[in-house]
Amino acid sequence: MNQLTLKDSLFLGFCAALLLISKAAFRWHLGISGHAMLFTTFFLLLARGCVPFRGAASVTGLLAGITAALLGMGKGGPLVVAKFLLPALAIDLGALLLPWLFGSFLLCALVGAAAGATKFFGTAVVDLLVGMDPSIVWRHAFIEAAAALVFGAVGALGVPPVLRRLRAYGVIHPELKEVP
Amino acid sequence: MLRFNRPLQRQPEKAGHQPVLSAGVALSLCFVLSLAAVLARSWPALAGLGLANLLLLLVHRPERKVLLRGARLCLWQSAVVTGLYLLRFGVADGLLPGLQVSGQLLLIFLPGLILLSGASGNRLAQALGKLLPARSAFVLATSLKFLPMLVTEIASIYEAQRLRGAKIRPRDLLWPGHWSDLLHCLAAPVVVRVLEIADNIACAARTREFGRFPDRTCWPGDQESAP
Repeated sequence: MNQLTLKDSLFLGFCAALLLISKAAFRWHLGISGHAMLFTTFFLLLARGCVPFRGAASVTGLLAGITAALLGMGKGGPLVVAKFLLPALAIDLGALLLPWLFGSFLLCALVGAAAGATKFFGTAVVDLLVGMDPSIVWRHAFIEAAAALVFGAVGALGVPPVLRRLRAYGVIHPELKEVP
Repeated sequence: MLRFNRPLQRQPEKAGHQPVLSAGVALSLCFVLSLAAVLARSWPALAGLGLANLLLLLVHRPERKVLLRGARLCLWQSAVVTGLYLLRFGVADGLLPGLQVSGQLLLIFLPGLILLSGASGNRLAQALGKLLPARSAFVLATSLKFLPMLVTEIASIYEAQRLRGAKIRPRDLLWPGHWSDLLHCLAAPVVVRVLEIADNIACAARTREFGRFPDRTCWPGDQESAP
């Protein structure tokens, strides 16, 4: 399906808003790197799983990124858009290549991990822009991406049960029925 | 009783609730103040930002009910964050950093809260419409405007599920075996409610011919005044 209805657009907007308040509410500087990716992958996969539109996660990521930039969340200024958009693109690509993604815990975890790993690029770009030494940049980006990968996979594991429950209620689009 | 024979007249906004700042200026101020709160690392900087937020609060005059709800949320979060710092770093090393991060979080939240409660959804959509396509601006403004209502709905669902015996209290969630309760009893009903709200808003917008013209038209009384 390539048409995004107003209801679906609003749902994606709400997913973006919930993603942002979850990230903001758990911004505690406790030294646990990448834990925000838990919410990012959960809400982006949920958005893609509930809306039968190929770019649903990207639209959600873009809306979340624009809102975060406007509200001044994140240290990257306008670059914060890329921090939401890159995982969203990974999720849309995963959903495109694996149509039975949302019925499987393993595949969801893999796609969530891939989405988390995109933090490598965001971190490296910001570090390079602030003038950090390149050898430290790659090491820092690798550590950040490894932590985000783990949290991304954990966040993605929460999506199949929720989608299964929503299918049982009959509230999500019939085109998204689980493929055996 | 509905009186259809009366000409449709829009009630003028109360003088006390008319925002002084245009939505575009408020949005820019919100961006600058929140970004500054993220970057602030010292007590003097946080104090200066606190003063700036207080001025914005006085000028923008948001609804008292929304402010009280926001203050309650911020106080709860500050208590949790400071408590976690005390647990991890001890009283001597954890108290001041915990309070500083709590203050920083409050200053990150506050400009958005003032903006969302002070500016009407229509004025916000018009301000965003200068940056984004009309439909995206409407979606973004609507989702932000309805966010406080959504948070209230989530709180109601949380309380109702707790009364049913769901193990979703923060201390219950320390045990991973209870995480499935969080997904089944909270996440799934919240998504159902979000879908319902989105459907209702979309239905209301369609009845007002939203999307019929590429450029969004506004009710004359809601036009953004030039700054």
